[in-house]
Amino acid sequence: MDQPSTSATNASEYQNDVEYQEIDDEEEFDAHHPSNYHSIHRLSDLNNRQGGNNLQKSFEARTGGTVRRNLGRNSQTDVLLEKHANVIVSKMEQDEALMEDSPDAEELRRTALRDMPQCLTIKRCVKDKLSKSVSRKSKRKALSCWKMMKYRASMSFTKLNMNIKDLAYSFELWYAPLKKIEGNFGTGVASFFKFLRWLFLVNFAIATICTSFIIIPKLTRRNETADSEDWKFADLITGEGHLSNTLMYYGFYTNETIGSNLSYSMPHAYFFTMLSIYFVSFAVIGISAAKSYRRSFIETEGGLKNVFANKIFCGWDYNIATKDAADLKIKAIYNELKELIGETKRHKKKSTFYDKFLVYAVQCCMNVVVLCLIMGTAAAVWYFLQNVTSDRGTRIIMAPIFVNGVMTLMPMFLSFIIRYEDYKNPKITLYLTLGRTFVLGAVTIAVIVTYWLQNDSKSPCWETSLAQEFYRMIVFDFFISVICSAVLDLLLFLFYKYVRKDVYLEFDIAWNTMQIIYNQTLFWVGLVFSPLLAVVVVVKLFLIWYIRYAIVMHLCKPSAKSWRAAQTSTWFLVMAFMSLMCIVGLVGYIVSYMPTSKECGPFRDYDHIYEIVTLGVLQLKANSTVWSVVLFITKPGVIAVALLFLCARVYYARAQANAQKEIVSQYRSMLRWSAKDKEYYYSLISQATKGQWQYQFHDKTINPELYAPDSQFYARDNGDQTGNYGQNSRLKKYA
Amino acid sequence: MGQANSQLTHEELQDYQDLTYFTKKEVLFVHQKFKALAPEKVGHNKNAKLPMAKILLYPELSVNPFGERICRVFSSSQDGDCTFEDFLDMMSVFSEAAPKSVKAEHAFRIFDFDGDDMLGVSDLKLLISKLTGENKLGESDLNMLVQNILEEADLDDDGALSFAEFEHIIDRSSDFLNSFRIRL
Repeated sequence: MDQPSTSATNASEYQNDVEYQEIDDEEEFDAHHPSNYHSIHRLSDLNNRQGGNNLQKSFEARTGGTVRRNLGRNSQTDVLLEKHANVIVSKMEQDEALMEDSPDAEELRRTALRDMPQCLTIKRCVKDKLSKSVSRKSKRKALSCWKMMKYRASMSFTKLNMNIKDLAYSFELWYAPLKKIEGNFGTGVASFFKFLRWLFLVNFAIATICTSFIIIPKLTRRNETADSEDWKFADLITGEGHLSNTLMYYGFYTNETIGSNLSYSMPHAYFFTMLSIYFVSFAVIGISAAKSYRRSFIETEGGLKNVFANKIFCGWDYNIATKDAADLKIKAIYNELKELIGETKRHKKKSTFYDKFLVYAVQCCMNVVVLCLIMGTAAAVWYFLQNVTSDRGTRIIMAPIFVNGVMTLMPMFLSFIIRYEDYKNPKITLYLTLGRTFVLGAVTIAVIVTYWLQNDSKSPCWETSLAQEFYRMIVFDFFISVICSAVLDLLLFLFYKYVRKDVYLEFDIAWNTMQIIYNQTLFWVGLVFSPLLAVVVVVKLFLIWYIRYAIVMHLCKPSAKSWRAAQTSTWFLVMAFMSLMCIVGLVGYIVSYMPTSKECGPFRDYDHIYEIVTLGVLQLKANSTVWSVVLFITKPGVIAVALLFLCARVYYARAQANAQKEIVSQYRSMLRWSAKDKEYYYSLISQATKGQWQYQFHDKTINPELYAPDSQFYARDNGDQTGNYGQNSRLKKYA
Repeated sequence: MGQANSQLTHEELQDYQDLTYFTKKEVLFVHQKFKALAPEKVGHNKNAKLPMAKILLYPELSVNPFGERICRVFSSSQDGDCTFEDFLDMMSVFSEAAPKSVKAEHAFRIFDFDGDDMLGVSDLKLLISKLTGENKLGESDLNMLVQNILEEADLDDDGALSFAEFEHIIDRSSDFLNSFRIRL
């Protein structure tokens, strides 16, 4: 079977091989270039009204119908530019939807030109010609009043959008440091810093809302507190003492209404501000997580098998800007390719049953061990907290130190031991470590919250005690996971520099991201009863940014392994969302079931916090029918039915997705079969042109199956004599 | 980040904003960076044609193994020399706002070293050798690698990747958008 000759294999010859001919007329221009060279995603932008031929015309119009984007090494560049532009304009004129004289069509023309793969010079020329042609040919349709209004609204909205983008571009926070990190370390490390910056901005927004609605009104009307202790420096760390009766905590806020003419009710302000903060954060993080999940997992469904193509086509990170980083990246790609090749060679060796059994046993054992560890940690925390009332001095700082120490060191320990579990896929080891860390954090925080919720009778103001505990956790987390780890990194760096010269310090993206997610979880729990905590966390994140930036730039070198940034950042967002979901549930529980303290806080008049809505705002209890409806909705049975319905919906969507995957694989096999047909036809044609089978080919007695009514040759001989060889240019070389 | 540049007229800025994925400020910033490559030449003619060697002084392009090929693809005269408009086009395709389809089309052109509109075995071998730099893979390893790629991506078994097959594979990869990007 003849194979078409491939172009020169020598790299330096490729520039000579590209022949650029003088283009005489439009048809010759098209004939050289097959039109299946443009993205099929463009098809989704087309709104063809009549289908069929019109679809092809619209497609060609949007893509300019040609492939060659260069003008070529020709002295008559201006003339060529004109001709090239004329060809494109003539293609575009064939689509009626593009050539209308309305604002919609103008927008369509603009986006079609923008997405067209041509030089900018040609595009400007085409734009000019198009506008002249449109104004010449089409009549301006009289726009109805409604359409005019819609058009004006969308234009002003787009302008506003552009202005906001411009403004955001000028004031982009930490632009220069981020660019330096991207240039030196690539996308993986940069994704951590982008996530940190995003959290910083979210927390900054929360702090602004808290300050303006809760803290400032309270500041305008301070009342003298009965027992304000003296200021001690240790108070800043423990959150006790003088700080107990300040703006920091829930206990300081009273249930008064401020102002005489325009009254500002503190309880309502507190409740609704907190409610809106939680609601908005939930919405923002949920939507980001869903968008990210869709982009990295759903749209690339089945992409797990394409390791080689992925490595080769998406391997190079175009953000890298320094020679050192580039050399390291090249080395990393080389090592990974070698590893992949080694793995495919090793795949052929089958492991024995005994080996597999051993591996499974070790994995099970390890999982049990980790679970026990987590339970042990929870028990230890409970023990520390139980002994808190005996000696206040040092005991109250034992729990935070212990918990934060565990949360800092345990992830490192987990990622160390998982090496012995010998999982085949490196992604599984990463996700399992992250999952275990998440469970550990969730369990620990749950223990702390349970302890303080159960002890509401021990202290006069349990809300303040809970908030104080979380303030201590956040402060100690800063000291332990940020400052201590910075010192540790510095020591490791010096050790590697002077003792073991071949090993470098690498930036651990997973550990760092888990730390800031843990910090964020602590913040969200503590925020309910401590508005000023938002400001504290903003300051903390600001310091974390500069400390980590200094560590990365001065002490670390780029990693030897590539980091799949898209998928892992999806998982981080999902984890943040899950923790927020649990916290919202917890806050819901506190609001509905926990009795408020009678001596402190803005809700001291109510038995439960939610009553500010039911009794205060909506006067629900007064209207008995509405109240009975609400009671009915919150019954467990109704909620269970709603959940069941949602589960059924999810199952249906999943079944749909599976069915579509089946269809895709069927199309793939159809492609393969038609390729086999093509090969067969190539061989027949090559034989035919050599003149060998000419008569035998047409002899129906020898090849009867070719002349069955449903075969292509039947149609070709008896009907469709167009001689159309289809769109593959290589086929022309046979003709 | 960008002061008002007196070289570009208001009309041109509007055109550039309409035809690329940039705002006017970003276009001015790109012009600033272009000027930094050859200050006197661009000072005389805002749309000056800079030789490939100068364009490759841009930091992200200088360390990129495909830097030369990128310049050739985006150059309107096919020899790697870029005018400002070519440079702007390049930055626009590599920006974050460019859709995946546009990036895939240009990535295909960049990887198609011999210009025959298909990624054949020679193209793939050249691609791999550029990616691994000075560390060379053995001949048999290279062949196996190319075979594996064709197995994964070549749906119609013709020994080369057409654009549709390339786009199909790229669609399945979640890292393409992240990696095929140059931030301003």
